[in-house]
Amino acid sequence: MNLLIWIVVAAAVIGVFLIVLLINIYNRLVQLRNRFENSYSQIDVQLKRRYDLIPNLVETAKAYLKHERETLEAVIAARNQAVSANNKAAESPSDPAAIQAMIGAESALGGSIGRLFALMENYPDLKGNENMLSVQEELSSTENRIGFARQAYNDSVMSYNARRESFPDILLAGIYGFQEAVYWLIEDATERETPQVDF
Amino acid sequence: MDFFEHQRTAKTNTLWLSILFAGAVTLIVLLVYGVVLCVAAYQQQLSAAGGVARSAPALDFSWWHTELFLTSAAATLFVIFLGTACKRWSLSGGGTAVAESLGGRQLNRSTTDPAESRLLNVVDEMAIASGIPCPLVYLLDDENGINAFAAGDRPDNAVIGVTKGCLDALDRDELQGVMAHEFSHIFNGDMKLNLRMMGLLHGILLISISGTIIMRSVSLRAGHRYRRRSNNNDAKGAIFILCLGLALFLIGSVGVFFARLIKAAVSRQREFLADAAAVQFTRNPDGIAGALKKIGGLVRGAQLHSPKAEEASHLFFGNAFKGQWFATHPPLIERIRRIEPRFEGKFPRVTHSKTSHSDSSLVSQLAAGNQLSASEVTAEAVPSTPDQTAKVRFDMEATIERVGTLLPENLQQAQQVQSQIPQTLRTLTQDPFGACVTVYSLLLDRNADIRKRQIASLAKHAQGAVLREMKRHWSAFRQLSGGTKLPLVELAMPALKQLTGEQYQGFQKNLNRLISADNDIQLFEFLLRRTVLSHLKKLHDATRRKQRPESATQVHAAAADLISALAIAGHADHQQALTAMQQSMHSLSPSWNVNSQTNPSAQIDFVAADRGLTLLSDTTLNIKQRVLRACAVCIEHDGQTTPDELLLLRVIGDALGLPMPLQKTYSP
Repeated sequence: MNLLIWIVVAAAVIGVFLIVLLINIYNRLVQLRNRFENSYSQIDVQLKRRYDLIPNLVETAKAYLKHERETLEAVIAARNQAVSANNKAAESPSDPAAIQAMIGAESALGGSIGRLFALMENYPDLKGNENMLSVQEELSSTENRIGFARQAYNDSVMSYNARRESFPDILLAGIYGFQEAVYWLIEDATERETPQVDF
Repeated sequence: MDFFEHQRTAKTNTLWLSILFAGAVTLIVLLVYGVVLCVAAYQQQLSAAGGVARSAPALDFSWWHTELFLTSAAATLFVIFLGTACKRWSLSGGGTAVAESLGGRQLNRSTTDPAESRLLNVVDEMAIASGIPCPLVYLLDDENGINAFAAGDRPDNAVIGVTKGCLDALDRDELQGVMAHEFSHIFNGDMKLNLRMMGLLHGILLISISGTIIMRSVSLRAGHRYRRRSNNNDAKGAIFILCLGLALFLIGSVGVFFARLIKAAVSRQREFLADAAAVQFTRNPDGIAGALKKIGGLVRGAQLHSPKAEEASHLFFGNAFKGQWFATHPPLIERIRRIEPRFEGKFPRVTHSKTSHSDSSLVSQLAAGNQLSASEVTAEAVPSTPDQTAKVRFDMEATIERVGTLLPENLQQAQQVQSQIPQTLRTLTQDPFGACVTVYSLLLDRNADIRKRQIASLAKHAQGAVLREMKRHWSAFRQLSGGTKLPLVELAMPALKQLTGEQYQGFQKNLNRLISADNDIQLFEFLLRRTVLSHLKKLHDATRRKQRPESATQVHAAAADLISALAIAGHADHQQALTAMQQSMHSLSPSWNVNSQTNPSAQIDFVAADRGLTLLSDTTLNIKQRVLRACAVCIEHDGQTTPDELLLLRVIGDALGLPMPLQKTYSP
């Protein structure tokens, strides 16, 4: 009978220990996931700012680019696509599919804006337009912030993924439903150039 | 009662808490033993009555079985210890861990929502006014009740949480009143006490949880067994385990009951103190009284949905749950009557719709608080010469008394300083990228040659985007008046705290490069670096343990380094500086002498001062108080107060964890 008591007590103790361990693993993963979701919200704020600037950009350009309607319409369409993709991703940044869709929409938008800017090279009047210059400046400043926020997001995704793939977290990640998070990598040539700034 | 007395009271309360808790634990251990004993006796009776011969000899019935007691006691203590340790570990993340577990969403500082940005402004204003770094603010979106909390274990990692109901129902004054109440918790050392309570309570909770789990597992197993074969003893064995589980659950509940009583007893008195402090800080009883009345008028009151709130119920502004016995807060009417003795008990009707945000415009907000017209606010800030000596009378006693408190004039000063900062720069501090740009820009030298070197070094090590952004805002930075620079840095702190580990490393290196570009450290650079890096370092290097100084000599040496910096900063004449230092070190240690160890040159040794400050930040509250006093003696020595001295004092206070309110440093 003594033995039975021992067994029960030992079982209870081990049981409690395991439960606490499980809870801790869960909490740790949740914490790291919160962190990268938080990082996404930083990107979200800046993206929204950019999306708000684009209609202004298109309106200003419209007056000069009367025969380039397709390019302008493409920009607006890509922008709307990105807005809805971003809304979905912002709601659940831990859903890999949503983030992938977001990355796709963003690169499409970047492409169409790039084409617009390339086109603008042929219209010096438009390039020198005051409103256009100010919108471009706002856009570039927003781009800077997006880049920085993306870097922070990727850093936190890395911490989360590293922890998730380690032992013993990897055993439970599947059960708990912690999926691998997606990195946001874009080839951004402008970030590499060394500026000749003087002030 | 001043800051230091509050801290000591909080410590005493913690001691009481521990004693009461130990009492509860002892009770629980005895109860568990009692249960195990009963079960053992019952089992023994069964085996004696049943036909199955048991090999173990019959235990004779006595109340005390040493090994049984030790086993059950060990198991119980282990479970409690585990629960407490785990909760403490999970709370070691500080305030953010608590806020996130309650479902809070970190407010983005660049938010465009007027209610959210108003809340951020109220919090920022109070933080700058009182001398703590601007805390992170969390919003509990799903909670419609009016409630708020402050969590963290030090003033510099405090976190403020607010329910959506607060944003919707309270006006700016009332919000300020609630924030003042929370800030007073931060200053009084209540947060640490509260977190400790959460940790201890969780340990007792674990017993009832483990009881529940045992019960569940057994009822499943028993069901299976019964279907397969009905064996009397097996069934009885299962029932025995079931009873054990039930007993543990009940015992755990008893523990929870007592723990809640303890919480209630310890918390309630502190709430009255916090209410009183809120009135003292704002000199506006209507603010906090108004908030309390609205809680009374709202159907939901201060209640919270989230089940996690139970554990943290003592952290909140108002009673998060119904029920008098376990109320963590005194009754509303009593609280209101203490502030407004003539209150009749009629609560205003409060609906969920947002009250008119007539003060939603940032400019008019600042103007209203400061009685400046809107045009004055948006005008360019006039740069003042950094060497201006303000003939501000320095009151040593008052300064020591004002540590960890706030006065309306500090709030006004904070508002005025903020209004002198152009809106573009304020917006710049709101996201991590812009915050880095802000700090780099503030370190750019006026001298064009040195600036060129700084820019060149940044070009090599920072992103091109950073320099482009710096160029954009350079003219605004150049025109900033001296008194607004450090507050601007303080505003940038929350965004800087969001830098990831790698981003922080890069930022820190760039910061150091910018400062050493001219091979010299100026006072402002020292202050900025200290303000920024000491807080961020704690965030990214959580493993650093407090290193208590070994001896009094070390403490005196550190204090000497620090005070020599203060003395030189405040006295143009080097002889006078030495006398001031002598006098102030005497107040700390009568035998101290100006000897060869002292810095003989007229230049401040910032490296030594920094080291000294770090060492002193790990000492006890008593030593810190005496060091602060010594600093005050040093400043008072020549009867004149320079802005540099006050700025340095504020940074010293910040490093020691003694929040110093914002005073006028520049003459109007």
